Amino acid sequence: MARKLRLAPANRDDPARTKIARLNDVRSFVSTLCLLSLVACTGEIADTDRPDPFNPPDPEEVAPPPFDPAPATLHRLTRAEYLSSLGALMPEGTPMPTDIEIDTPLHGFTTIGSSELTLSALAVEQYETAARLVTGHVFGDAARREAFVGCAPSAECNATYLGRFARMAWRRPPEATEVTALVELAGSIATRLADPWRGLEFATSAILQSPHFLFRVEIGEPSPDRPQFRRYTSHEMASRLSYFLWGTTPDETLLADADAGALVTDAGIRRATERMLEDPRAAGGLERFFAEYVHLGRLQTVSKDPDLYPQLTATLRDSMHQEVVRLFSDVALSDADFRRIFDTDDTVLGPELAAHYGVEEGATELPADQRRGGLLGRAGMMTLFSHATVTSPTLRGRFVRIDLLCEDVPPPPPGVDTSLPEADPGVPRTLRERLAEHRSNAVCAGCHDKMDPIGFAFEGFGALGEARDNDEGLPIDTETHLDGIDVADAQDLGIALATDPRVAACFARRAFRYATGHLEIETEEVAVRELAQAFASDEFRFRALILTLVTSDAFRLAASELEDICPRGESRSCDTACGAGTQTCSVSGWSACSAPAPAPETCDGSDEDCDGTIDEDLTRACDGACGGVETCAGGSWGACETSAGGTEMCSGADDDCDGIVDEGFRTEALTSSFTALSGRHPGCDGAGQRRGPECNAAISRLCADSACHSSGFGPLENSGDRADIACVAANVISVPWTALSAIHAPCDGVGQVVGIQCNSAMHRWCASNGYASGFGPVERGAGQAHVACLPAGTAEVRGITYPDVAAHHAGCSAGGPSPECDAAIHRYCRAQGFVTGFGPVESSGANLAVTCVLP
Amino acid sequence: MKKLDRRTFLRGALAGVGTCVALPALDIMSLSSKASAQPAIPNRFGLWFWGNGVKPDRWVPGTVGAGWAPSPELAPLAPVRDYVSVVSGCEIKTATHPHHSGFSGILTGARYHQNGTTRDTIVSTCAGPSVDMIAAASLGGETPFRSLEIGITRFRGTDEGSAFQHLSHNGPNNINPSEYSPASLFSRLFGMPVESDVDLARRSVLDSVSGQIRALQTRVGGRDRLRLEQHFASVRQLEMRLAAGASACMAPTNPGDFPDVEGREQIEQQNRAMSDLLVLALACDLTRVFSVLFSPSGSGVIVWPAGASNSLHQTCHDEAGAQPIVHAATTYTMEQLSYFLQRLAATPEGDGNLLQHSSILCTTELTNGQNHSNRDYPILIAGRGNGRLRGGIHWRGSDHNTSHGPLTALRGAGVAAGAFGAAEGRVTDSIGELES
Repeated sequence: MARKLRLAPANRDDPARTKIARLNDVRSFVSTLCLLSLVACTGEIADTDRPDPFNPPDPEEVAPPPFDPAPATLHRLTRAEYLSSLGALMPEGTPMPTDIEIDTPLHGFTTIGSSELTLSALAVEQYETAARLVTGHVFGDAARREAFVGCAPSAECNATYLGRFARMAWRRPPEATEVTALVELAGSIATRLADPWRGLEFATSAILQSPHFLFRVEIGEPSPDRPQFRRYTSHEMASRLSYFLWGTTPDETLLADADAGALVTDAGIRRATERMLEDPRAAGGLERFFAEYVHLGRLQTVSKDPDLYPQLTATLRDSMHQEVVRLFSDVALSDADFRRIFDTDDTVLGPELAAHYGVEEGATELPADQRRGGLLGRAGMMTLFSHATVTSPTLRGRFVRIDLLCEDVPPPPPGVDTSLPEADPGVPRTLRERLAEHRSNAVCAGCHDKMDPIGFAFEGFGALGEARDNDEGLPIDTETHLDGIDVADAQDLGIALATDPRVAACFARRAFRYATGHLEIETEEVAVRELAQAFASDEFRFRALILTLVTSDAFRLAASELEDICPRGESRSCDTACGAGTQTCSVSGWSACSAPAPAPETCDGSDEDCDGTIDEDLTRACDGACGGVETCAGGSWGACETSAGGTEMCSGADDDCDGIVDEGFRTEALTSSFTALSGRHPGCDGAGQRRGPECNAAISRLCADSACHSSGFGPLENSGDRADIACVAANVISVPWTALSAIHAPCDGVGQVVGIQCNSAMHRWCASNGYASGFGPVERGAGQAHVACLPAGTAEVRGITYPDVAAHHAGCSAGGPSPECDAAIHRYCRAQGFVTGFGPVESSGANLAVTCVLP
Repeated sequence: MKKLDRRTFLRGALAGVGTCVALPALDIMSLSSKASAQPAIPNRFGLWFWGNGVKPDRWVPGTVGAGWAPSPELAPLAPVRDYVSVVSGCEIKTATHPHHSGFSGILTGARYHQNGTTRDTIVSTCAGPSVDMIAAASLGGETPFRSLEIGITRFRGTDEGSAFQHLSHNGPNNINPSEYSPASLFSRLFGMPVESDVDLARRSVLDSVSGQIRALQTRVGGRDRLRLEQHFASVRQLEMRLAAGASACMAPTNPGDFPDVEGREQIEQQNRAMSDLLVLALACDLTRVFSVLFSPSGSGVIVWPAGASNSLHQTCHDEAGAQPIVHAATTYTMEQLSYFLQRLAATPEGDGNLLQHSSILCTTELTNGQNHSNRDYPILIAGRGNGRLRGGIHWRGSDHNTSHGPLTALRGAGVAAGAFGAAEGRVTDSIGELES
């Protein structure tokens, strides 16, 4: 690094400049001599003969593998991105939601967390509420909705508006089928609520709850000139640029660029980026990156002892935050040497913060004699990396080591006493002195030597960043070193960091992670290093860094294959109830675990189901006067225990001990009447209704009075007041209409309650849950149909033709359920040896399926 | 014919918060089912978690067996002692890292899942579902909320992954975030007006969103398919809740929120408001599975009422000698737990009370915040699990696996779990002495 810094303004006294020159000379010597040994903790924790897992050899020293980009992935919008996108999509003045899940940053960045996390039930609820809030506001007012939609609801208007809004929200033109689905959704809700505007309101809210809005969907397309990779499409690139540079959704110009295919070319990306950097939104978006780079978000939640620091108000917190991000924008976006942020005293202060620094309100520079060292010594930074009452050289040094130098500091191993030596009453010592004793413990020193000395440079600033000249009444010593380079105080340290090539390289790495939303993979390391080198070649100008980054292959290309569920070829340990094994990853995911799988327990003295108990709960039927039961004990069957049999009754019990409950009573075809049925449901009176939902309920309720029946169907035969019914032992299950309509769409409980599609949906629902068949709805609840499912073995489904049943009642022809078919199916099943039957449970042309019920 | 009892009235144990009158008539209760009889009283599973461990020498009770003698730190639990069993003498068998190992170890019985392989310190998440979500898989299906997650002291920001920010996990980086605002929790539980026409429209919207998720799943890689599967499941949960219609519970008064007063977090007020709402949600059968994140792993909460002026994490590390402030903070934390448990015990249900019908695992991410020890781990199991748990027992192991604790708590809630944990952390035995 021969390049000289031009950090200090020319009109300032220049001890710093001399220092920088000197440091640059020293550094070239130090970096070759010491760097490798300095990256690892050298305390006694690590076994020096083995590689330290936390500190592999400096990757700069190892040639990285050839470039291969990471797979494309879905990026959930961060909280800030969601809110700014929503704000951009909705008209000015729309109230914004407040209850949106806070982000889970990973590796320092919310953008990385958002590429890993998914949507919890709470988040879905919050997004639904938010979508209804904003659409309710816009559509709740006649003038607002007309201005927003731009036309009066009609088939044509709805398609135009929904297509337009989906394009803005989804950051790409919607497919024709997607628009059709939205138009249909709007139409069906408009009909249900008898208001075309409400149809549009809900369809708009659907666009805002879509995965295409809540996630940035990135899939890529084959790269025409680089067939071994995919490239991000022009529209995907628009979103990548927009959320990186602006932190919000693309504007119309950027979407037009995307439509024109401009964002898959170098020149197009460069032109768009240069425009975007001139836009005021760039400051907002890039300040977000910077705030995350230095963990500034925590300023809002950090606690200080209010007795010690009563001045820490919400406005002072904001002022501290603003000072730091403005420092960044003023240097970075004005295209000065980025490293000036570690040196400059320029500032923008709120009144409380000015008082805190002890300067005039409106001052634009901090006093040089405070020696704050640019960014790091600012009140906000010092507040972040302190405890509630005292400073923390450890936290401050740790921040520099990890976040500015991109090196690692492992945690203390379990079982190490971490407490500081007890203060000797009457003998005050500075924190630095106490920490020195702490570090005399070799176990601690290995890692604390990497952190604490850096932090000592900041001891002139208290836990709220206030300038101070003593600690416990004793003078403060800020002289220390950064990896062998002596520094006198924070200002010196700032210059040492500014000229340290690790800092700029680390910053480029952080920018890469934030912009791409992932940790660089091994085969991207080469791209990260190129980025850092270009940053240095471009004299550490931030705009140049951005242009290099967004036009780089790493930002524009994705791996040729989408990411697997697991790393292919990798093995991992796994276990079943029966023990440990391994499994390997293939294209279809993890293989079955090699450990034995639990099996049903058998009577053999071993624990097949691996629950720790042998031969538990095993019984089997055996012969006896009235049946009997044998119980397994110690690997063999015990004696046959029998019980005397009686007469089977409709009792819900096996009265005759034949192993079958209520046989002969489970299914009964009974003569009944509408008079009796109307007593169970007044709607089933034989006049207003002879067949339908109310009769279903009446029959089911009548049957359930008998101990061996739970439900029933019919009428099987009816004439005049006579209404024969079938009672059965079924399991009545509450099933949401949504589940039924998912099986057969018209059966939604609104458009259709009874009918062939409902017959079929309920039959199939039961069948897919292990039952023989089923019927209903026998009752209706809120959003639920109660379906009677017949257990396997109690009924049979027969595929026949309409002529087969018409032979039993000529009135039953193709076309679905009818009183005539009810009778015909009942008679058909009886003729086949069953008690009764119902249907059609399927119907297609001349073919139908019926369910015949066994005794 | 057997019919399930419908619990009709809760008596006025919740005065001041609100009264829950008729319990929701669960569909299953009003229908005949010959196949299986459901217990009239539902099983509840809970997880109550605090950060930074305890002072072990003042935590472990001096006596073992029934009727344990309250130690200084467990003294606040004396009023509910007969409902609470103490498990001591166990250790995390998968310990490699101070905070991360214990968190994943106690909640999943497995090693933590490290996020990314770069250096920059450890960022971890859970490799599999946390114990509360294992319970939710069995108990969560029949209530409007599959589970509820609640946070008491605020999250102050860390960079160590989902394990340091959240409690409840479905899997790696698949979290159920905690609700920190009593006012928002109130709105979720009781504030939703039912307009059936509008709810139908909302369900149509959710249905169309589900369709979009399904279509998108066919176009993305395996990892994203899994992420979208959770999105789909989350949408379905809301859809099913809308389909279930209104709860029959009468809403209590909205407790509002508790912002800092003069720079101090209102821990006790927040704990009371959240505990009261949670007790009501359980009494009204809005959920059967819950987790309370009193403070997260390595928590920076400043326990002012215990005389602390620095964060608990720092105090654990730096306080010299016998650590009186850490001790007071732990005792204070148990007072907050005790408030919640006493509210459960004071809420009648059937011929007993809510605490009798619950099984609640109460624990933390390490034994001792001073030295990051993972041995002699603090574990409590509160509640009598509908008669499955005895309560009031101190069971002491000797270097046993901590996973016995969660497994016992799961079985106590009637969850048919054959094992808990993976590899070194795996066990198949619950602690028989604690079971009836």
